Amino acid sequence: MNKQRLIDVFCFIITSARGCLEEPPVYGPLRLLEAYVMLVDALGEEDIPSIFLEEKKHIEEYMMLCMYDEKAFQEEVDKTINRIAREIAG
Amino acid sequence: MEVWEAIFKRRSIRSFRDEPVDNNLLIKLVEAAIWAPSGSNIQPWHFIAVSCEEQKAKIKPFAPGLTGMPPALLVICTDLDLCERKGGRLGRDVISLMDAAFAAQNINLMACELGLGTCVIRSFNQGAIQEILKLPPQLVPQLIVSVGYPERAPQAPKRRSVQEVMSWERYG
Ligand SMILES: Cc1cc2nc3c(=O)[nH]c(=O)nc-3n(C[C@H](O)[C@H](O)[C@H](O)COP(=O)(O)O)c2cc1C
Repeated sequence: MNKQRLIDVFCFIITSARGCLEEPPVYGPLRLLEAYVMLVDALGEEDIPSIFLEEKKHIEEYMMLCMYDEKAFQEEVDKTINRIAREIAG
Repeated sequence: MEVWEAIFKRRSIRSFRDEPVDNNLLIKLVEAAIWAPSGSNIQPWHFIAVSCEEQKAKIKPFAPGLTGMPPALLVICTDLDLCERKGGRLGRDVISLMDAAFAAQNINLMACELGLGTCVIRSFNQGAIQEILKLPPQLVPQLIVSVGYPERAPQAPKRRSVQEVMSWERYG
């Protein structure tokens, strides 16, 4: 675990909470996904089940879609959730 | 490069090659910025160039709109006291923002000409950035412009058409 990175995530989450009061609503989901990516990076790959590492890569690729194509963004987030749920369901 | 080409080619760049930006280029960008139009010619701006890794790392968690870690940042600040003194309430509330925006666009276009990519960022916490950059209270960070060599040219996001956004003589 990288402590400095974890502290950065703390600052990011609190700053985003303030930002989300005024910013476009779709930035809320974006900030949450960004925080997820940062958390995975901070915690390190060893302790995280592979599905979450794979989804992190997907998320990094599609998260900026929210700026241009909200529908496609929503579809990608749905796919991520479904894949994780499928994995957890076993 | 023709102005038209720069206007068309400019994109918000959010991933950069791991290559530093020479200080002289950052100076050139600020030179372009100071020739932007300025309400009542107040020129209330101050530009802080940040390329030191340690300082960028301090800014990043307080700037959720900043994607990745660009080689350099230009923080465009405006002096609200100067704006108010010379431009009244309009100066403080309006010109302070507009001047920063015009300066940012000059930076964007000049960067394009220099083969650099930029992204204008407003999603950051102004108070936190003020603390980190040790700005006096009247000097407010309005925009951060990330600067670097683009990793790739992103697709142009859709634009509303001229027909849709333009009228002649009166609305409609
Ligand atoms: C006032 C302003 C604030 C912006 N803030 C952000 C930001 O915080 N983060 C970001 O990634 N892009 C930001 N942008 C960039 C826009 O998202 C971008 O200009 C828009 O999507 C159009 O894409 P283009 O610049 O490639 O044409 C900002 C642009 C402007 C003009």
